[in-house]
Amino acid sequence: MVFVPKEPPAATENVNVSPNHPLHEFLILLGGLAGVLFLVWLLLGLAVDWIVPNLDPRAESQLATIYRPLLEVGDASPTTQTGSRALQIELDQLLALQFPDKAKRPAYFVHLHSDEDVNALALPGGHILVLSGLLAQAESENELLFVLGHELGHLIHRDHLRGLGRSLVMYTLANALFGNQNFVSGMAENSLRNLQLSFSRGQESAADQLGLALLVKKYGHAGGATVFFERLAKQEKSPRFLSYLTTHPHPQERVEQLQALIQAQAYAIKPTQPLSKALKANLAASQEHNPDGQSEKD
Amino acid sequence: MELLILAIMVTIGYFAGSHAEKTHYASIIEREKAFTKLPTTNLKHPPQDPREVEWAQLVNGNAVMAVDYFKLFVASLRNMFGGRMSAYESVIDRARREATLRMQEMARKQGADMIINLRIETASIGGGTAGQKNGLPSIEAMVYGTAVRYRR
Ligand SMILES: [Zn+2]
Repeated sequence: MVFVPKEPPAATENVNVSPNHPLHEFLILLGGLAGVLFLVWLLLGLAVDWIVPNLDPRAESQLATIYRPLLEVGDASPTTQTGSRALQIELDQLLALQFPDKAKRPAYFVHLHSDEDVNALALPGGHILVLSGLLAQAESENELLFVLGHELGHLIHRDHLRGLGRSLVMYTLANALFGNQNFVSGMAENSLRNLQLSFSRGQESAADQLGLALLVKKYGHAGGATVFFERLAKQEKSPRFLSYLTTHPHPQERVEQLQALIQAQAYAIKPTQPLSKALKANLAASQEHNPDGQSEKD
Repeated sequence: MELLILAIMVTIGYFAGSHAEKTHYASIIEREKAFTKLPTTNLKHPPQDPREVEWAQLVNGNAVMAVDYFKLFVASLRNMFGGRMSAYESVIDRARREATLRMQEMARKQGADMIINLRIETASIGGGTAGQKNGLPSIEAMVYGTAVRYRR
């Protein structure tokens, strides 16, 4: 046996290391991961679409506990409490109109939240959150009722659960895939808490239709339905309306849709009624409480 | 935020890691060329030789090679789909060759003529071993053999 000295192979001829570029493998694997996530996401999204219409009301109220701190803030001051009560009476009337059969009538609650932003939100558990900024700029009971009816439409159609369902799916998905407390589930939980409840165009116009139908049922005419959105379209640039615009479609579009609906159904338009005394008193009190009109929120 | 940190770590891992790998391979090949005159085999006995063995001595070399975040990230993706873990191949290869070179260096210093009975052991350090729970894995290669010197 003779020893023959041999030079080591060149780096490119190393049989022990795969010749492909590391970035090539990285991109292929990343693409695979994205594909798998998208597929599971799609499947769970379908599951949500199936679950939402069949969700037990008790399970829904359990879900609402995430938002309890928000609702409690809404209940904090006595002035907003009286306002909440006045709004609740209006909501109960709308509910009675929508569900004549008392046994089938769901329990929905409305809360007034002291905040100068103009907005109203439908939350899980059958809660509607009205920001006092909406009351402050409302001129008639009719337009206020339409906004309330619109949010009620979201609750009845369960749009709030659908919007939540996606985030909820992402949350459960990330927890199942990567274990507890990873960055994806953290992000999903944040989005659950931040209430990114923006609905699709179709959901919005369905809610508008219900709001309009309720308005006509209550007053016998469709006066005041478009007033709020016309005002919104004019003051688009005002920061107070920003919050409503981010959670709802463009007001001009909705005004046009509503007018088309009113014409199609041949609804009459009559003068509107001013805001009720209880709500006006609350408005005066909340302005007294907060003279600069500054938001109490930090 | 965490996603951004991860992206930064993976990017740093890629650029720093591939630079380190390139320079390391250049150094490995250069030193391996210098050691071509020191026969290193895993034969149990020295090949037949008219000369008498003066002494035999245990020599060893150790090298620990760290895995960067880029390799770790690619490897964790690879774990989902299975297949060749090519991200770690170069790390293992470098650890083994570096440890061999260190062993040869030790033998050369002692004036050995050849190394027989070469053995290689590998172990992973960190990544769930050695008392660390979530440490990044490092690969250790331990190479040992018998250095032989002929009487002259
Ligand atoms: Zn809406």
